[in-house]
Amino acid sequence: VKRLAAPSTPDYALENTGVSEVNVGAALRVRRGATETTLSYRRYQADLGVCSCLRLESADDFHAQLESRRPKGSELYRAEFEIERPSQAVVHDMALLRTRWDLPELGSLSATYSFQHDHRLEYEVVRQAVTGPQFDFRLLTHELEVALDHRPIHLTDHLHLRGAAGASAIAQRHYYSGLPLIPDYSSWGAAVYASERLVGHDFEVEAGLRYDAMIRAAHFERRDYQRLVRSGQLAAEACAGAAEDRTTCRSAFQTLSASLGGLRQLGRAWAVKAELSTASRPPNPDEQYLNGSAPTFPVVGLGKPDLRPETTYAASSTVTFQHPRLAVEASAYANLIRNYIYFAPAFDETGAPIFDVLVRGTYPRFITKAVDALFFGVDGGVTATPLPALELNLQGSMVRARNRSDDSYLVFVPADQLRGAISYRCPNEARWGMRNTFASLSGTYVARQRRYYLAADFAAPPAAYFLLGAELGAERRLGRNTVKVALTGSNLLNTRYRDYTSLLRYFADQPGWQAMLRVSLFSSSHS
Amino acid sequence: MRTTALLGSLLALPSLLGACDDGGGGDGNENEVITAVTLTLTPGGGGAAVTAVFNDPDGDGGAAPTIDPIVLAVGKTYNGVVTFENRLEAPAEDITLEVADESDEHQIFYTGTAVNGPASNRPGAPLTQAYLDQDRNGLPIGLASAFTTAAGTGQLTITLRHMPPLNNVAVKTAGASTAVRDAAGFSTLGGSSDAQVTFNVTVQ
Repeated sequence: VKRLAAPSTPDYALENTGVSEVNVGAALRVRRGATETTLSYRRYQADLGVCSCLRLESADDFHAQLESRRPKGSELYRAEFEIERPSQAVVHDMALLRTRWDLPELGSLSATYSFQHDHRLEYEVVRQAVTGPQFDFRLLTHELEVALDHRPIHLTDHLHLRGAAGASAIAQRHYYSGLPLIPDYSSWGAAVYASERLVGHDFEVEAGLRYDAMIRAAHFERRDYQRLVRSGQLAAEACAGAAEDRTTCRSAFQTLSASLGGLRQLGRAWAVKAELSTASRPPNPDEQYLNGSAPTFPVVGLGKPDLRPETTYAASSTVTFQHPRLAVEASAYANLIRNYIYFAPAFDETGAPIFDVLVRGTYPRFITKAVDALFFGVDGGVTATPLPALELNLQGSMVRARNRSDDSYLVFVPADQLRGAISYRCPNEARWGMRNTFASLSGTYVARQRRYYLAADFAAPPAAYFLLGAELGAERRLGRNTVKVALTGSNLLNTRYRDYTSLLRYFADQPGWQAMLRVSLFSSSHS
Repeated sequence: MRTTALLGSLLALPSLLGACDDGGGGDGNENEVITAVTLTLTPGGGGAAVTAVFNDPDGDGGAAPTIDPIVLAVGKTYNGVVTFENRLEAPAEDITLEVADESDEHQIFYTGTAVNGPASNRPGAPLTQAYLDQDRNGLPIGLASAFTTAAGTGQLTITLRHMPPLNNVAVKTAGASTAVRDAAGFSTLGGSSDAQVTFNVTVQ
């Protein structure tokens, strides 16, 4: 159970951003001989307030408010628990039944059935005559998986082969109701996969292969189908039963993923890792069929029904150094993405952005497009332990991203960042039966993103910022239970900042200083 | 051997010193659907009424809306009445009634190059607008207005603004029209726009 009040920026509260959460779950495990069966269920339920500052306005009014340093009406904002419209109510139910058999010759065979129910309701600010939600999304997922972990094959004393193979089937049904936006859909998929790992004395080689096939059927009321036709997304006769009351648009996707990786130990401290891989994902239904005002963005969004799967070709390598007093890790990677599915402004033949006239004013048109994208970057970290109880840590990351189709920068790519931390952990049991007592202090510097493309965005990236954080924690045994206590403080310097990767940056600042006390109780029983 | 292990029961109770968690996320402020805005202008002292409709029969996305031009005669005073409908429903739903019921949280603003009035500082514009109705707090609503005409052309933007109270403080205040006039738009006014449509106006 979790209740959070709306946080405040250094200058004003983020009105109506409270959170109320309930998390419950239980698992039952039965073991009989070589067979083990697990049954588990978990439910997550949350009411999430949406900042009153996040508002859709027509293009002119939206740009005018971008100029102001604080949201209008923010003098009335309050940091409180109460959640009002606009808000979201979210429920996830997850049930799982798994049986595992130890087969003496083959290895371990498992069969898993899982069911998931996801439900999201979105409540907008409306007149009192309307009491229900404005958006209602419900997704039901059934999945069946059979997997075999084969027994290690010992080729020589120093050469072993481990691996697994499996097959899965998935069926999904999605129901949507609300303002015109996305269709209902059903989908069916199947996959087979295998992976093997060759483990030697000072090296490892791993290879994997996975094949997926999926069929999706999107169901439209006649009126909604006609809207896609009028928007130019679909031809009038593109889908089965286009003249009927209900129309079904089918699409089928086949994707292949493969990876090959190797690790080489160089002496006692150094190791080098390299990986080549390719992976594909089919477009999401909203990327295909979106048609309407996007609920999170002041734009008119149009999907692209004939999108093909997005395919990533990735290469990465990592060097690590491990020493009792010092650990260093550095990675470099490059990902080339063909048919990268990108939600971005639409331009006409002259290169000017397209605007649509709606009953609420003029809004920019965004479409899903398939572009070729290149991401590459480096990240790394150093951890030094000059004393057993003292740890110093420095981590940095840098990523570059290009849209190769029109040679521009991609938006919402994280800026360069550097984080340093110092932590002290009590080496032995402290007073009052406290264990694992620790204290840490961290500083994070995030640079301003200088590589941006304003035509695909609404506002230039926000300024660089520095955040200071601290944490204190301990745990104690109480009979059979363990109680963990942690006190966490963030943005302790009360820095006013906006995050380039957050939608909130168009409307308001990020929260100022915050402190949170977390008490967790862990219990277990055996019979 | 039979072993049953029961795991679970994880309880996390955070309490607050300042305030917590990431802010924001989620969606913006969509309102109920309006697909048609109609302005009916009846000349004082008799004559045929002029009706102009902004109509987007399939809502956001889909086909572009149709927008009638407004053509008026010089030197007259018209009684202007605006209505809002959801024509996605059959029969069409009259949203005007809901606006009238909650008139203390709503106001209709008349702006653009074609109009001079409380929310638009354009002396010499072809239309001069004055509010004819009031809510229970004595503030203008704008469902009914008087338009006086002079020769000229321009654009008239009609905005239905929903301004529900925030933390029990009224957002619709006496200064609303002036705020729109001074900012030449809605960037300093609370609430959100349920409708904002623009007509071409010719007074000849």
